[in-house]
Amino acid sequence: MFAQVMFTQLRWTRMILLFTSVATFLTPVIAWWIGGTRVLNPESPRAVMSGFDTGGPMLVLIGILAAFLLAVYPWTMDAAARHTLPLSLPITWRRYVAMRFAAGALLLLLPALTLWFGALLVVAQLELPPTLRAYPGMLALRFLAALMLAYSMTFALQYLAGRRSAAVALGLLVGGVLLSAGLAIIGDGGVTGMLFDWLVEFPGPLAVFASDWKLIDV
Amino acid sequence: MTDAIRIRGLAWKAGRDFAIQDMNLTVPRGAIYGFLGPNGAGKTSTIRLLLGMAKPYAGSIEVLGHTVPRDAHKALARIGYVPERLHLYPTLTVAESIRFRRAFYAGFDMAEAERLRRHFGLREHQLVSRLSKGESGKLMMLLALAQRPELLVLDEPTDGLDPVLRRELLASLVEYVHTHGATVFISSHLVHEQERICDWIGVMDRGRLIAELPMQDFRSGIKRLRVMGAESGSTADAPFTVLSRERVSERMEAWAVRGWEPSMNEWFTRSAAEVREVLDLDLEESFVELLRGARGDGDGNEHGHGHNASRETL
Amino acid sequence: MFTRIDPRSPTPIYAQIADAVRVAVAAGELSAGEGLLSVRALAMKLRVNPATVVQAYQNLEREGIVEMRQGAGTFVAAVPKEARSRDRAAAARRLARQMLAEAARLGLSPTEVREALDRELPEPK
Repeated sequence: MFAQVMFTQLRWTRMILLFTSVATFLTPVIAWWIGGTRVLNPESPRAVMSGFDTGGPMLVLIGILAAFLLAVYPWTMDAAARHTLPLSLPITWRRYVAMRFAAGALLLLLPALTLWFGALLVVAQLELPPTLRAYPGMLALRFLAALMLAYSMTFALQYLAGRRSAAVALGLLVGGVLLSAGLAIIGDGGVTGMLFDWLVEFPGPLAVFASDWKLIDV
Repeated sequence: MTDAIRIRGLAWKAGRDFAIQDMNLTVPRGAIYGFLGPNGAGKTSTIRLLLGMAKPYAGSIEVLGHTVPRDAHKALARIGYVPERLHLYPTLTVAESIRFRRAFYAGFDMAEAERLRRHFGLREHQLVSRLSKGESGKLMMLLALAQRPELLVLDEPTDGLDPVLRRELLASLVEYVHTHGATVFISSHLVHEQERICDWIGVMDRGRLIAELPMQDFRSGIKRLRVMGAESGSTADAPFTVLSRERVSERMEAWAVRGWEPSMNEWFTRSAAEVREVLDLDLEESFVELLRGARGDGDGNEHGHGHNASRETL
Repeated sequence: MFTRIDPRSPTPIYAQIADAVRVAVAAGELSAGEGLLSVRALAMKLRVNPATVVQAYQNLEREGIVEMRQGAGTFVAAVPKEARSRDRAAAARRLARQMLAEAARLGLSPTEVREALDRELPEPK
């Protein structure tokens, strides 16, 4: 059963996966190239380090977009017929959703893998001084974690809120903005600042997205 | 497990206007049960409730011995469903669709699926999105039959298809029933098809099941009487149900009646009226008259909408 | 033999099938020992419930017109000549009854009907 769920998942998202994997593969080299325009010696490791100031956010963006599409697109394929097909299969809905989740999550390994290859390729071209070290594996793992997080959140929202998920997401966003504005008016603006910091700084749940992404570091 | 489907006291609501109330429905094992009703009567909703795709507000549903929706997935393993709308993934091919379905059903007969595929003239590598309406209808029927189900639930399976195709699909359905002794539940507004093939009839209108009987009893139970010289007064004291009255000429009226027997002629002679002729109605006419009676717009003596059918009513 | 059955007719389908077989046998279209279509084949052809075909065949068997052989199918029995002509007579009377009912609806008298029949029927040679 899972094989067939995986088969359909792959069939539906193969283009998204392809583009994402190519993009992540190229990101280290693109980051290097960008960094090379900023430093004196474009061939040096410093170019890569500088480049990842842009490369990091690029990865975050690609990751969030890919995770979103991989979570939402298969849902829309089922939703086109009001989910009658999965609902009429002799499995519980919960089991079906679990299989869809697992299929999508497994496929996320691919762009993380290609990122790792791209990073390894870049590192192979460099000569690192003893003070600096490369972390291609850590980079890829961090990217995978970010992907999983974004995928899980989007998946949960989509499958819980269904057709209204866009409205719910918008509602949450507006609600959040209103809340912080309201608190600021009361004079307690520090609360939202604290909340945001907690979320985004390690070990908060969203920490994996924020702060710096590094391929080469001390 | 004597009944394939047993619904008792079902209540369900969708939106403000539409509701199913206190519905009882029974499909005996091995029956070919025709589910009739005008559009909007609640047939598709009933089917969705049957299959556990919606949760009832009250009442019990038992399909093949399993409680639905709690154990719906267990019942679904033995049910072949052919819905009205497309029940296929458009980006898969015919062969891939078959392989997808097979993975979920233990008793799926791959050889039979192949045989039907060739019999229906479907090419393996044809994309579902490129299939014509008729071809996708055939594919859905193929997938349902290849599962080797004990119960087939069909919702307008031949709607919008040309007559040749309708015959093909019905013939393959009949063949399956004969070979496997399956129970069939068909919802359709194509009354003449139902008339050929069904041995039980259930009529639904506005959220209620207004009649449920063996086909023969249904048809012989409703008749048209040509009555001469009837008064325009009330018929509430008649020993039979008057579904509708229509004036045909100055002295002649056509009455649609239910539960009438020739021995009841006495009631007419008492009011100096006379039954000139008794006509049998076919299923479509019976169905129309039954609805008129149930809705109370035939000037008959039926109650209108408070009325739910039981087996003994006709 | 079977072109169609009429589901709208008040006659139940199994009776229509049985009638058709009876008439075919009486008219000599089906001879003794000939096999009828299998239940499955006939049900598929007519698109009716197989149980209906079974009922028709069983009724015919009870009347002695066919015999159902396990595993082999249903075959026309050797029907005595009197039974055949009896069936023909029954069919003729059914036809006459239908015509008379229609005549009554039109308000025709028995005399008018007989006159019309005399005029329409060919002279016996």
